[in-house]
Amino acid sequence: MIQLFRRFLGKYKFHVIFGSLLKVLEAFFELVVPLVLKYMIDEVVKNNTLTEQVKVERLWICGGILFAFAILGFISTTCAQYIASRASQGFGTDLRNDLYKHINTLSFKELDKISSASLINRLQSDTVNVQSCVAMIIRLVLRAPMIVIGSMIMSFIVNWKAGLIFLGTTILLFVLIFFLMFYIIPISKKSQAKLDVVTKISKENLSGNRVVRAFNKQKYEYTRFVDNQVSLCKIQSKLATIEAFLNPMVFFIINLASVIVLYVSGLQFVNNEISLGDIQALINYFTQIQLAVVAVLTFVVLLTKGAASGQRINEVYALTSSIKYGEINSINDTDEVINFNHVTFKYNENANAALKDITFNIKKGEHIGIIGGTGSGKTSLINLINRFYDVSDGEVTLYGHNVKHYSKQTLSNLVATVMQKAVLFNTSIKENIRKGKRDANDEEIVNALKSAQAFDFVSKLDNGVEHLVQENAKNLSGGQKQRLSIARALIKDSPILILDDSSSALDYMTEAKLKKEIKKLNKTVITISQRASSVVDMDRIILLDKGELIATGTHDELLSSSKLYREICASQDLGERHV
Amino acid sequence: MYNLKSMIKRILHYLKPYKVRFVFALLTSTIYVALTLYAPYIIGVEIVSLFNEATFTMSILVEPIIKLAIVTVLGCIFGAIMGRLLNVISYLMIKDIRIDAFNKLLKLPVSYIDSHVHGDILTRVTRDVDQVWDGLLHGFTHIFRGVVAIIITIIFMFITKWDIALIVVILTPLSVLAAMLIAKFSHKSFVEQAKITGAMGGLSNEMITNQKTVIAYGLNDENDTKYQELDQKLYKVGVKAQFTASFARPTTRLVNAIIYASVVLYGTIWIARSTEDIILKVGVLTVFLAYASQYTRPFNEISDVASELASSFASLKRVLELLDEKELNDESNLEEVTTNIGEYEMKNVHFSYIPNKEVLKNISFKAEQNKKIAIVGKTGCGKTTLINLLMHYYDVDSGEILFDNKNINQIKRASLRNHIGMVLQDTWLFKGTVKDNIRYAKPDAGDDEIIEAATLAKAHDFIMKLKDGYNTVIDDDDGLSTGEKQLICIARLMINLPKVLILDEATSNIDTRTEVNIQKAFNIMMDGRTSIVIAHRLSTIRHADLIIVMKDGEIIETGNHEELIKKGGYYNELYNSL
Repeated sequence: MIQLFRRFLGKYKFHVIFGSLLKVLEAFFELVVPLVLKYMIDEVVKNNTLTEQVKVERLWICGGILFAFAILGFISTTCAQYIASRASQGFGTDLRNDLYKHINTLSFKELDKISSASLINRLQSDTVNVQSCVAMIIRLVLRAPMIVIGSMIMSFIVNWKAGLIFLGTTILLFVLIFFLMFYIIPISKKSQAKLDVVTKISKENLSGNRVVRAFNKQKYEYTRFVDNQVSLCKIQSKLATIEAFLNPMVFFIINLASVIVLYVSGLQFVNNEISLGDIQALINYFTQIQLAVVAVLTFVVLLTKGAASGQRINEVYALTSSIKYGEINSINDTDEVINFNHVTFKYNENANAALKDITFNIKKGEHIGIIGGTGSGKTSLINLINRFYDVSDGEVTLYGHNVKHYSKQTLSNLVATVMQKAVLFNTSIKENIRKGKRDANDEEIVNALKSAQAFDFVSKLDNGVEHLVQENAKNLSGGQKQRLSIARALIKDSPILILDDSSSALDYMTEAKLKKEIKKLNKTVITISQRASSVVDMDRIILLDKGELIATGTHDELLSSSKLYREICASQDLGERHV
Repeated sequence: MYNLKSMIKRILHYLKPYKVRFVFALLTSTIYVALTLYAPYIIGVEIVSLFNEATFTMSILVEPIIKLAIVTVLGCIFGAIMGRLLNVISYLMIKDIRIDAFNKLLKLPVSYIDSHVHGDILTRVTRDVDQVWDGLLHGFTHIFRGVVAIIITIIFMFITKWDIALIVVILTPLSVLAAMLIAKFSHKSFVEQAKITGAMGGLSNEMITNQKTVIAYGLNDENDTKYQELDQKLYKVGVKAQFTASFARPTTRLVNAIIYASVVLYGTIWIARSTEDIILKVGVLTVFLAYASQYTRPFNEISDVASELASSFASLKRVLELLDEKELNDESNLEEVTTNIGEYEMKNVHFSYIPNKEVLKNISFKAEQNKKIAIVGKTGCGKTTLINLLMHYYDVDSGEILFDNKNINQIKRASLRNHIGMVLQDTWLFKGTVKDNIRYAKPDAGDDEIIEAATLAKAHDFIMKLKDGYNTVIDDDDGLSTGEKQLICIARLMINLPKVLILDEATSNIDTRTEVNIQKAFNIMMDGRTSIVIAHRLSTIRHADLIIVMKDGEIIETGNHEELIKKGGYYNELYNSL
C-alpha cells in the first residue's frame, strides 16, 4: 500500500499534510476544553475571594471561549473533510485509470495467472478500499494518536499518578484487543471457507437443476446443504461469543481504571495534593481516551483491509507485459502469407509443450483447414498468429516479417479472427459489427450480415440492426452469437481470416451456406474444426494431434496417407461418402 | 406487494423459535445500557460530591467506589450476554431462512430457474440473506438500545437537575435534524455514484473477460478513453457524495460541543450564584458533562442505521420474492408408474415459453418399446424443448404426453423420472470425487459396481489416468474436458439404467477419440431399451428405427433413413448439405 501511496498520493501531498494538520487543530481544541473547565471550577466557582458578579462575568468569558472552540473545531473539521474527499477520490480515480491501462497492456501469459473475475474485483473494489484508507489516514493518522497521547500528557500535567494509571490502562486495552483479534481472524477465515462451500452447493443446484430432478436427488441435496449450513452456523456462533466481549470489555477496563483513579485521587485529596477541578478534568480525559481508542480500532481494521487490497493491486502491477510490439507498419508483397518455422510453444515454463516443432506455410489465397481433437494445439496456433502469446522457440512470420516486429495496430489489421467463444459487446448489433470496421456504412453492414447468414434473424428482431445486445449477449442464442461474430470478422479489411471452430452451434445447412460465402472471399482463410465435414473441401488440411503436426494435404491425400485422419472421418461417418 | 407490515410479520415468523432468547436479549441489553449510564451518575453524584475539603475522609469514599466496581463488572457481564445472544440469534435465523430458500430452489419449476439469471438467484440465497439479518437484527437492536439509552439518560438527567436537562433535551433535535438533512442531501450523490460504479464494473467486466477480442480488433485505446471518461465522472460525483456524507460528522460534533458549552456555562453560573452545597453541585455538573458528551451518540447512530435498514429491507424483499415464488403443484394424489414397458407417446402437443409464441406445434409421435427414435432438425427447431416436456420439466399447453399409456400429468414426477435416464449436452458434475459423482443415482453402490459402470461407459481408462483415479476430486468448472465429463455422466447413468433413455448428443468440443467412445457407450445403453435421441451424428440417425424431422417447431417428416432419402424432401436436403 505504501508503494501505491508513494506513486499516486504525491499529487495530493499538500492535501494530506494540510488536512491532517487541520485535524490536529481540532484535536487541540478538544484537549483544551477540560482545562478551561478545570479553571472554571477551581479558579472561579470555588474561589471565594471573588464576588458573584465577577464570577459570572468570568464564567461568561470562559463559556464564550468554549463556544468559539466549538465553531473553530467545526470549521477546521469541515475543511479537513473537504480536502480529504478531494484527495481520496482523486487518488482513487488516478489509481483506477492507471490500473485499467496497465491491465490493458498485459498479454495473456500474464493474464492467465489472475482470473478475470479477480482482476475486475481488484480494479473495482480493492481500489475503493485503498481510497477509503487515504480519507481515513487524513482524518485519523494524526488526530487519534494526538488525542490519546495528548490526553495522557494532559493527565500527567494535572496529576502524574493518575497519568500513570491512564498509561497502563491504554496499553492494557490495546494488548487485549489485539489478542482477541488474533483469536478471531483464524475462526473468521474458517467461517468464510464454509460459506464458500454453501455458496458452491447452491450454485451447483442451480446449474444442475435438471440432473438433480432427473435422478430425484432433491432430498440428498437438501441434506447436503443443511449439514453444511448448520456447521457454518456453529462456527459463526463461536465467533459471536468472542465478538460479544469486545465492547463490554472496553467498558469494563475503562471503568475499572476510573475506580482506581478515583481511589488514588481520594488518597491525594486527603493530603491536599489534588483539587476538585483536577479530578473533574481527569474524568473528562478518560472519556476522550475511550472515544479515541474506539476510533483507532476502526482505523486499524480499515488499514489492514486496505493493506490487503493494496497487496492485491500490487500483484497486478508486478505483472509486466512480456510482449513488446515492433515498429513495422507495412507488409512485404509476398506470396507466403503465414509461415511457421520449427515453432514450439508452452503456456508457461512448467507446462507441457502445447505445440511441438511445427513447420508449415500458407500461400496467398489458400483456404486451409486445421483439424484435430481437443488438446491437439489448434487454438494455440491461432494464439501465436495473433501474437496473444509469444513462441517458446522457432518463429512465426506473416508476410515475410516475424510477428514480433509488427506494430500492434498493423498486426491487428492483418488478421481477423473469429474466436471459439463468440464474444459480443453490450451495444447495438450495428455497433458490434462496426468494431470490425469503424467507418462501415449501413450497406456494408447488411452485406456482412448476409454473408454470415445472420441477416435473416437480425431483420426479424425488434429493431433490426439497432437491436441492443445485452450483457454477455444473453438475449442471443449460441448460433446467433457465432454468426454475428463472423459478420464482424468479415467486415474487417484484413487479408487473413481465421475461423476457430466458430460454426459449432450452426446446423449443417446454415454452415454449408456460410462455407459457400467464405469460399467466394479473396482472402487467405484458416478454418479450424473438430468436424471433418467442415474442412473436407479445403485446399489443404493440416492435421494436428497432441501438439504435433501429423500430416498436411487434401482430404483425399490424407485419407490415403493418415490412419488418424481415416479414424476421424470414420467416426464422423465421412470416409465412405467421399471415397 | 410487500409493505412494511407484511415484511415485519415475516421477520417475526422467523424470530418465533428464538423468541425467549430474543426477549431475554432485549432485557439484558436494557440492563446493560442502564448500567453503563448509571456509572457516570455514581461518579458524579455519589463520588465527586464527596470531595469537600472539610468533610472528606477515605472511609466515606470506599462504599461508592465498591458500588462503581460492582456496576462495572455487572455491566460487562450483561453486555457480553446481550452481544452473544443477539449474534447467535441472527446466525440461527440466517441458517433457517437460507435453508428455506435452498429448499425452495429444489421445489421451483424448472421454468423459474431457466428464466432467471443464476447469479441473481444465488445472491438472494447468500448475500441478501446475510444482509437481512445483519442489517435488520443489528439495526433493530441498535435502535432499541439507542432509544433505551436516550430514555434512561433523560430520566437520570431530570432526576439530577431538571433545568439543565431541559437545555440538553431542547438542543438535541438540532443534531438529529442536521444529520437527517445531510443524509437526504447526500443520498442523491450516492445513488449516482452507485450507477456510475455499476457502469464501470460492466465495462471492465466486458473488456477484461473478452481481452482476446479486444486485442484482435484493436479496441484497447477506445476502451481506455471510455473508462477514463467514466472515472472522471465518478470523481466528481464521488467528491460530492463523500463530502456531503462526511459533513454529518462535523455538524453533529458542533451541535454536541454547543450543548456541552451551554451545560458548562449554565451549570457553573448556577453553582457560582449559590453559596451552599457547592461540591454537591459540581458533582451534578460532572454527571451532566458525561451525559452531554455521549448523549447525542445514539441519535447519530440511529441515522446511520436508518440507511442500513433501508438496504436490509430491500434485501428482505428480494429474499421474500424468492420464497413466495409458486412451487410445483402438490403431487400426493398422483399415481406411481407401475408398468415397465417403456413406451412414450406425444399426442397433438402444443407448447410455448411465452404466451402466443408457440415453440412446438401439434407434435405427435410414438416411441415404441425398445425402439430408437432420432430427432433431427436445425438449431432452434424445438428439439431441446421436446426434452423439457418429456422429462416433465415443463407442462404442455395442450395435447397429452403418455408414458406406458398413462398421461404424465397423472404421474408423480419423481416416479416418471425413475423410469427415464437422461444425458444432456451440457454436462453437470458436482464438486466431489469421481466415485461419488458416478454413484450419485445409487449411493450404496460398491466399488465393483462403480468400476463396471465406468468401464461400460468407456470412462474407466481415462479415470485411471487421473491423479487419484476414482478418488480424484472433480468440479464442473475445470479440470476435465467436455467429452470426459460426458463420459462420467454416462457412467452415472449406467450404474442404474432405466427403461427409457433421453439422450442429447454433443455437437462440438469433443475430440474424435472420446467421441468414438461416447458413441460406443451410447450404443451399449440403447441396447434393449427405448431411446429418444436428439441426434447430430449421421450414424446415430441412420441406425434409428424412426427419424423425426423437425422444422420451426413442427414435425415435417417421419420415417427411417432409406424412406426419407427416397422421399427426397427436407431430410434429403439436410443430409446432402453435409
